[in-house]
Amino acid sequence: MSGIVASTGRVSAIILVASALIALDVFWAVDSGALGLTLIGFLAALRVYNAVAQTSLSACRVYVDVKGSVEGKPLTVEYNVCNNSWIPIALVEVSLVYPSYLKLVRGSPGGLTVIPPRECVKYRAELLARVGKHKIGPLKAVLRDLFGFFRGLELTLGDPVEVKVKPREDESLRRVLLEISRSVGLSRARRPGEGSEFYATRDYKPGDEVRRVYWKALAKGRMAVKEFERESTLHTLFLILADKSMLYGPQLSTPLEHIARITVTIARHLASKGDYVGLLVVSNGKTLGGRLERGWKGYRRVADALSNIDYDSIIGSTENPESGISPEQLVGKLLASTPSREKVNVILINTVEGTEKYSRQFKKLQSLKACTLHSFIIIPHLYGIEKLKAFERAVYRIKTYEDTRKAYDKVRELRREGIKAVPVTPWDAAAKIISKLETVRGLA
Amino acid sequence: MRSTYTLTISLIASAILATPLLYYNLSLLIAELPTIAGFNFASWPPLGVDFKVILNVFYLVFSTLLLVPAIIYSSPVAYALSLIIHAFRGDYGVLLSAVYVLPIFFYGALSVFSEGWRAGQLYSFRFNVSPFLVLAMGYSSIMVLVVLASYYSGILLWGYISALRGVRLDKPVLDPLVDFFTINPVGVVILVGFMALGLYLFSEALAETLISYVKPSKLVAVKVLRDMDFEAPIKPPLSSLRNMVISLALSPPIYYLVLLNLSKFGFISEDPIMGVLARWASSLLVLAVVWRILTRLLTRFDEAEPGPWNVILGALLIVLLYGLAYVAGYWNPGADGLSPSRVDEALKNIMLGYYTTLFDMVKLILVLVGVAP
Repeated sequence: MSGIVASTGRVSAIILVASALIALDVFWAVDSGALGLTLIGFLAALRVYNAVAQTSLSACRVYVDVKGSVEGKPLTVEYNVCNNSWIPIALVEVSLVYPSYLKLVRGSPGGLTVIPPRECVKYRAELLARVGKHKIGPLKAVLRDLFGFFRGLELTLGDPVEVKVKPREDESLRRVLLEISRSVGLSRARRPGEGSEFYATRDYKPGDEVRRVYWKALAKGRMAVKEFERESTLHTLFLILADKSMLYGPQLSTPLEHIARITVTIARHLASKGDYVGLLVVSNGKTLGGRLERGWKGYRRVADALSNIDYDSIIGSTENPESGISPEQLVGKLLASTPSREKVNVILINTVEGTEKYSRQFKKLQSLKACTLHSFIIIPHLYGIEKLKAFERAVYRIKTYEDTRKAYDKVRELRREGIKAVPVTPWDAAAKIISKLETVRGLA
Repeated sequence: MRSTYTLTISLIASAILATPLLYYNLSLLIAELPTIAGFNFASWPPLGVDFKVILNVFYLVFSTLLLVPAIIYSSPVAYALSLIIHAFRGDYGVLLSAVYVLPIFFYGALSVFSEGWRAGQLYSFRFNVSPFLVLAMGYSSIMVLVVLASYYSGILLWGYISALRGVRLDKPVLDPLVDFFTINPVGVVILVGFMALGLYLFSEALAETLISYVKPSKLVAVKVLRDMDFEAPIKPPLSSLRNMVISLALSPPIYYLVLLNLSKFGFISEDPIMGVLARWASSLLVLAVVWRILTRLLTRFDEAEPGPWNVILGALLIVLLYGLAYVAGYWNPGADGLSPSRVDEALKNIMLGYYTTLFDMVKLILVLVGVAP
């Protein structure tokens, strides 16, 4: 296309009729030549209008607004296209550019519209929000005339917007957490030590601080001091290796989304207890998050890291092992994330493929005793299986058998190396992770 | 995504638009049935068969069949073809009737809507109603302007063409050529075609140039530049003029040899009009070919990236010259070697003849458009 407006195949209809009319006049003296030329003139005039309208369309002001940032809720994208000129723009074929992995739940991905002079047209579409970072927009617009004889250049209206969607916290999971931990607030180790809660009294020993002397007992003639219950603080780092296998399954029920919900819910629980929590996401050779933070700050960082997962980079990731972060770099990153004085529990959640890639490094990490690795190996093909009918599910189980076998083999291999590994399904993943953390807390 | 709803509506509307022509076709076909029934196809040659009726029926059936894709695909082209077939039957009224011609525009609109309308777009596009009344009025006004402009430009241009057709010259050499463009239908069609194309291209260039200057758009400019072919040769200033001058110098001998060969093989008619036309066509064709080859050749030299094509194109000109001289009998490789001296001797006359022919053409155009007497 050389000009700003190009003719379509429909123009040939008018040119055919115009030529026929001119030929009739010339060869058979029908007196239709003027009409034929009028039709050609009509095309010329229409083209002039389209060129003017195209310029007005390119000068339109566009305002973008996005509402909704929680997983599973509608993500509403609004584009306001304002025509500042006095030229009516008709018709415009508009289409929204959005990732194919986002589902449109309301509205249409585009359509035909007109933009009145000095007025705005609002385009709105509702997408189903999925956890992570998504690039939505811009609007693509192509000018057409009413009869479809001409087509303008494809213009981009507005800028793409980056939307960060946080994972939804699982209410039922929170209840399970409360039930298992049996308490809210700071965790206590049921042993005397540093803390704020009264634990017991004992006889005074030389060296005890004077401010701990129990004055009521002293009044009765006994020299005793107050003891406080030691507060146990967990250092938990979630490590998610987000590869393509983590995106298997129906929308909102993929391993990645499921794990994100579990992680954010547990992170909140740990934050409420004043524990240290962090998240390290490795996707397409890049890392997100990583730092351990105490309490709500840690929780916010975990939620932010999850909402920064870039689906495009995961989908577009290459299988080339040379690309992106190397296993050694990952170990280095892990060690940098963990404070040297404290034992950090690394909750590694991944599929068999991801675990295999970094398997050697995890073993090395375990041998360094820098942290305690708890590996949870998920089986992607089990995700979304509950949505299948009974017969289909039975057939599909044949396919999942191989995956399950691989997961168990991997678990056995890791256990031989001293890594605490366990295979998990979509139905027991949350409970197993929580139980593991509470067990660790009890031992702390 | 075209919804079933949109598809159904579009099909119904298409069928309604095609109804007048379909009804017309079918009524004519039914009227011809008794005549066809009276033919005796059993014998050979068939007795009492009027082939005009058979041809008429064939046209009608073809026209009716073309309405099927017109309805299914909302195709204005198929509908227009169906309409034009009636002109072959000698039924010109159909092409002049608004009832039959206007559906072409509606088919265009329908195909745009059926392709562009998306399910759920009523939710997606929100606007106030009142501005749309302004839009409807504004758009209608623009359409009225478009129709008026096209009507008056059509009338004006046709009047001009009619005036041109009335031109009569009292010059024995040019008269046959003027008659060709004013009386001969083929010549008139060429004339009208050029005029119509001129009108369209002029308005297109005018609109785009004016808009680019009056209201420049960065977005459109960038888009146009990006859509252009990347292979854009950098031409030095006035290179076209330079190529034209060199082409004019090189063309005469080639033209002369071409003409000589055409006469030798009997392609040049003895008829004075056809003879002049053949000379004109040859001169223009030779000039165009030489110009093209030279432009290509010199542009490559300008780009300073000479390749094998430069040598090939240069050699092509020389081979063409020698080849034609040989065929025309002006050059004997055995006796002359690579020095066709007889060609050089004749060069002066050849050039004069060539430039006279070109001048005649230019003069006729000036006379026809009223610039020269």
